[in-house]
Amino acid sequence: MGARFSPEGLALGITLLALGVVGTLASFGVVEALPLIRRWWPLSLVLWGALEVVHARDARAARLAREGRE
Amino acid sequence: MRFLRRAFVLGALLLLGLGTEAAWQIRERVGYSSWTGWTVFGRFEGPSHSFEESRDLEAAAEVEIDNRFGAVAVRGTDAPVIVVRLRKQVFAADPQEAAMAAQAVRLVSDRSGDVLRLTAKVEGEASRRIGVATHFTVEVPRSARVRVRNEHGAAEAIAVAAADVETSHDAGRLEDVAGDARLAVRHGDAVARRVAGGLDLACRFGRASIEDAGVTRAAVEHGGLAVVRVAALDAEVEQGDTSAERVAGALGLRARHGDVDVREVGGAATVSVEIGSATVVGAAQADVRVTHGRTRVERVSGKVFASATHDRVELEDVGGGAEVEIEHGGLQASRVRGGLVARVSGDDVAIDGVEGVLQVDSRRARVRVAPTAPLAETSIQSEHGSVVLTLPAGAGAQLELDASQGEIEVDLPGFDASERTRSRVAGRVGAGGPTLRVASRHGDVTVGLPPAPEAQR
Repeated sequence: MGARFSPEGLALGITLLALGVVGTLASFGVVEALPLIRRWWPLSLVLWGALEVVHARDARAARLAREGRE
Repeated sequence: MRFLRRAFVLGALLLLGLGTEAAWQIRERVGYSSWTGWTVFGRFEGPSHSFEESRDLEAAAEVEIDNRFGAVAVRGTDAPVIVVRLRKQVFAADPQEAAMAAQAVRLVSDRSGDVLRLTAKVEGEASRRIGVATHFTVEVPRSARVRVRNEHGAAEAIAVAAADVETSHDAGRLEDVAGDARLAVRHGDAVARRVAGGLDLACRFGRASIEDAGVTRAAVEHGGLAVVRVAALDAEVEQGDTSAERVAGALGLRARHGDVDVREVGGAATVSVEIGSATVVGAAQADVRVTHGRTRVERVSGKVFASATHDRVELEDVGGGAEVEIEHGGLQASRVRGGLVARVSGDDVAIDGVEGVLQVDSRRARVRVAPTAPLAETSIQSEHGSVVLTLPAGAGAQLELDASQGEIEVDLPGFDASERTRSRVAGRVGAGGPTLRVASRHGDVTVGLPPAPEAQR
């Protein structure tokens, strides 16, 4: 994956995955979706931010490695 | 391209969050009742027609009223019977449809021993599709105990022996209750007046007001609390300002977000405030703890303990000594009898007219102290500020003054120095007396007399 993965794409993907899991569990009556999503949705922004940090660090390491080779 | 993709993802995530919040708020405020009418903020909406039904019943020691939508008013009278009036308010534009729906709403009274239960029952499917509010007006003997459970509307009990009232989405009121009372209100104001027995009051999303009650317990979430003339008070307030006046016994008050004003407490006042100021004027004792707000304690006959952060503490007219802890704030104390212990790390310290043992430990600011005669053992330590000690004229004392990196100045007539170096001065003032120790690590130490009246002018 290196520095080429897309943080926003990954964040959106994981959020959709989590939404799907919550929706499925809600349809089986295991959890109540609305309060759960209401409470935890800001984590998607935290996740995105964390991925952006990782992405920026990887991109910088890749650039330094490229400059070293040159 | 990347910018657009990011904007899309950000929009999607914010839409998720805000959409969820909006859905939640709508679910909380708009509902479809079991009596099948739409409700907004807990009330029926739209045009309505009213129909009345009344009934006279034999007296009972206890009267219970259960109601879903509508107001409940119970009033004690001298008559030995119970008079029930039920106003059926049908939310339908068509008068005939409204009349039919009203016929299906029945006043039900059920007697079990000394307990009379009143409720309104809806019969038939047709009426269930129309919103009906049932408003009870009940007259009971003054000796009756009353229990009201109302879900959407105002509720009140006036001039009864005892009351237990719960309601939501409108105000709750108790007046002239001869015995104990309980009032719980959600989404509305709570008012209790003239409760001879104990009072237990809970209020969410509304302002609570209490006047003339016995031992009172109150819990308020969002709205504030005002209390006047109670036997004793124990209260918790989450958000909103709180005032309590003329509490005969002890007062315990815990507030999270809001200012607190307490006046004339016959017993001990124990107050804690998380974000907001606290004022206590007139109490037998006071324990006041404030974070992020100003503290003022005035006219306390007994001991005072005050702790504060991020703002100053003011003490005035304390009779039983005081102990003060302040972080990131200053101290102003005047007329404190019984001694004062103060640990201050923040702003200036100004102490005027202290009687008894005095201990001051200040970290970052100036200290000005003017004790009154007769002097007592005194210890003043300052880390980063100067200290000015003003002694009453004619007082006798032993002085021990230290200033590691500052200057020491003693301007006292008849001061007899026994030791004098650049950083330390010791000696006797007048005929001698209690030891006054003053030390400043990074500031000056000055000891003198109050300015003469001419100089003051």
